[in-house]
Amino acid sequence: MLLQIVEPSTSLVQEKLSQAVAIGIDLGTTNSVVAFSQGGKPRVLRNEEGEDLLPSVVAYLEDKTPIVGRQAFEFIEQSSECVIFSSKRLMGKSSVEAQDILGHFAITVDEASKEQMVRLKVGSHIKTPVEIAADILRTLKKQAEVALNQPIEKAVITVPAYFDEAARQATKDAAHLSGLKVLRLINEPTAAALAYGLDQGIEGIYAVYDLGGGTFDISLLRLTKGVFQVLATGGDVALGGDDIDRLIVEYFNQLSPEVSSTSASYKQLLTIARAAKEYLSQKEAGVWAWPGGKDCFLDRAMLERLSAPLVEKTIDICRQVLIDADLSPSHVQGIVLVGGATRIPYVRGRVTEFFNQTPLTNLDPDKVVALGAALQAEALTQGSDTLLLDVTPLSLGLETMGGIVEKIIPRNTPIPATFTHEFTTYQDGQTSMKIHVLQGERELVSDCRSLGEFTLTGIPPMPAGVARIKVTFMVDADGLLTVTATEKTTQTHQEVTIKPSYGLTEEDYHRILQETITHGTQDIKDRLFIETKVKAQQLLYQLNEAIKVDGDLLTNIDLKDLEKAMDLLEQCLTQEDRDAIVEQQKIVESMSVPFATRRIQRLVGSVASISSPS
Amino acid sequence: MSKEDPNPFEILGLEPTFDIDMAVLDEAYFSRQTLTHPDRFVYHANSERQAASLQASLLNQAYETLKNPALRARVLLKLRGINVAFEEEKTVYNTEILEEMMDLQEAVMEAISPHDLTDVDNQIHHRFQVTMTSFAHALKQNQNQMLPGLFLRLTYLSKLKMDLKVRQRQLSAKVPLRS
Repeated sequence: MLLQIVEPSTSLVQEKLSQAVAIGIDLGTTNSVVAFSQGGKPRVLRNEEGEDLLPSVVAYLEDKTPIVGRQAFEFIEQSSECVIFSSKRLMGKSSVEAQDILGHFAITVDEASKEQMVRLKVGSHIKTPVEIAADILRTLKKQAEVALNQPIEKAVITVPAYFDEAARQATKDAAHLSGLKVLRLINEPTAAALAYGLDQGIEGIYAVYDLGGGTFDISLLRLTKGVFQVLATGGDVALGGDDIDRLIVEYFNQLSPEVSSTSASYKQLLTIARAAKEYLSQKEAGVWAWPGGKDCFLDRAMLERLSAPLVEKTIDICRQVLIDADLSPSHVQGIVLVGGATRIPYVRGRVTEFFNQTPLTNLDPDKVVALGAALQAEALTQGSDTLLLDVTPLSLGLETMGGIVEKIIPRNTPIPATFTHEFTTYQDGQTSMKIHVLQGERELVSDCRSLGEFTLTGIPPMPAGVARIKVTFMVDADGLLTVTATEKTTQTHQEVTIKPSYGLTEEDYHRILQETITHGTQDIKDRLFIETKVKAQQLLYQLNEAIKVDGDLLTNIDLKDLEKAMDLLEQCLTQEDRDAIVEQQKIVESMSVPFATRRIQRLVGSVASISSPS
Repeated sequence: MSKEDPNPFEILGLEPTFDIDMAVLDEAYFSRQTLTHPDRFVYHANSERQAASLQASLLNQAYETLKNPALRARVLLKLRGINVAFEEEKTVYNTEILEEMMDLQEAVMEAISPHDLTDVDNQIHHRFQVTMTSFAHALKQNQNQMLPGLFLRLTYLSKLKMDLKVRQRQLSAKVPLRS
């Protein structure tokens, strides 16, 4: 169930932050894993059947709650159209893009969605990849709650390093729907490095080669005394073990050309191909019964031939990332292998050859990412001496004249990153301006991914070229972008949230909530009201704590004003008016900004004065 | 760097110098980032999380600037009150530097194998090192009239290094890009 909402009580709001519990989740293309860490010792949380990998497969049967995991496979034969796997490949994609990716899949795209986030026809349901991910996350959440015997509301979730903004946002939305608050999205290779670094106490430059079911990432990190600094990252979000499965299907079909169409669904064929691939990681050769055709023989040599172009592509990307980081393979002290596809002997061999050393495989490549996520979840909730410094995988740019992209935050920039650009008007009396944000490495707008277009409004009418609009782009630690704009001559301030072009709309969110709620007794309004109330109470609690410690940073007048606004918010909370709470909370938040800034400056200043007495 | 831009040396609590010790830079950066990185503010109020995030991004920017010799040189010139933008405009007429750079650029663009690039890479690297030494020396000896010219060479060579990387990336691919 989506809704496990507890009435906000003082204990919830003022929960001793040090006692909060958070899990780490690897939301994978093929399998998902949940882990938990205590005292720096992460472990995978198994389900009641003792399984530690949850296949990322969901079956949506008529009028039933979704079936997630291994049991969902059982429906592939009888009702293939109701079973979805590898849906992670569609996160943040439009319908058009999804059709390219889906190819053979039996699931069809709902035509109505066109340019929006893709919607899939799954049996009689229409589902977005976000909802499917939410169903998987809900299962993992429950699994963790049973294993730990307590409610879980917070998680660190991993994403491929090469995921773009839309896919990251989609992951966060999915978590929200499943009732999990995302403390941080971290990159899969970074999580793996964390698990290895802390486990083995390694130092120096390490490469993490992560070939999963659907995505490939390579990250280069420098590890120094608990600091995990990502130097460069690269990858391909449409390259993984799944592709090898498809190549095997094609090959087996060629071996049985006399069978033009089989009774088996493509998904069944893929299942056999996957089994063949996995078998050949242990044995030299085997024979598989191909539905409707003859028995098919496959050995390692042939599998190597089939997968060579794909593996070479990953090696090319490794080469490029080394160039980006000004390094050569000999600088790399160790290679960490992540992802099920790195079990393939040929993949392992090529990586060994390229880096001229044997990769580290002490930790299970299927679990290492979740273990790293759990470590980070513990660090965020319990405090930690380690520090993760990650980078943006893709350049961020703006559309300029002639459909050219001007890069404003280049790839491999450490995050959080801020960039400020000044715009002016080009027409007399112009009061609005359109800004188009793109992600990608190519020069032309049409070759990059559009993150969204937004319009700055409320520019005071002035002659052309006089207005000075300062636009600030900020990529946060999750790799997500926010944009703020200020017109400098009049100090008109605007906060713009970039809505990814293929993101979940407000209506989507409400529709999905409504659907999940049909079984329950609460309605959306209740849920939204409670969420708002908790947020407001948390804000008041945090501010009161901050005033206790650093109240001297406020003048008496400012302090009185702030407390007055806080009192008003407190009063709003006693009434059942959500809008009033939201409104007053905004006021309190904006009033507390200078206070917050001074607090951070005091914190930084305390170090500055230690190291450079001046 | 505009007038409003903060001084990266100040942000990292370092003495303004061109001969920067990378280990010292790392240490200054890591110790500050440990305090203000957003990971330390997960449970704080929104406004504080944002202020911390902004501070962390300033640290990142200062670190990236000081790590890069050409950008570091620019900051130092600025601190001495030498107007760099004006000098950059003037260079268009500095045929000596331009010709040298165009020759190197040509060599980069015309390379058809990673091996071809090694030679020009070495040349660029060597000239970059020599220019860095001269710049550091001129700065110490207060030979302010020398600085803009050396800065320009550094900037050009730095840009060439970027071009070289782009070319290296192009030439390193064995598998054609997805069309």
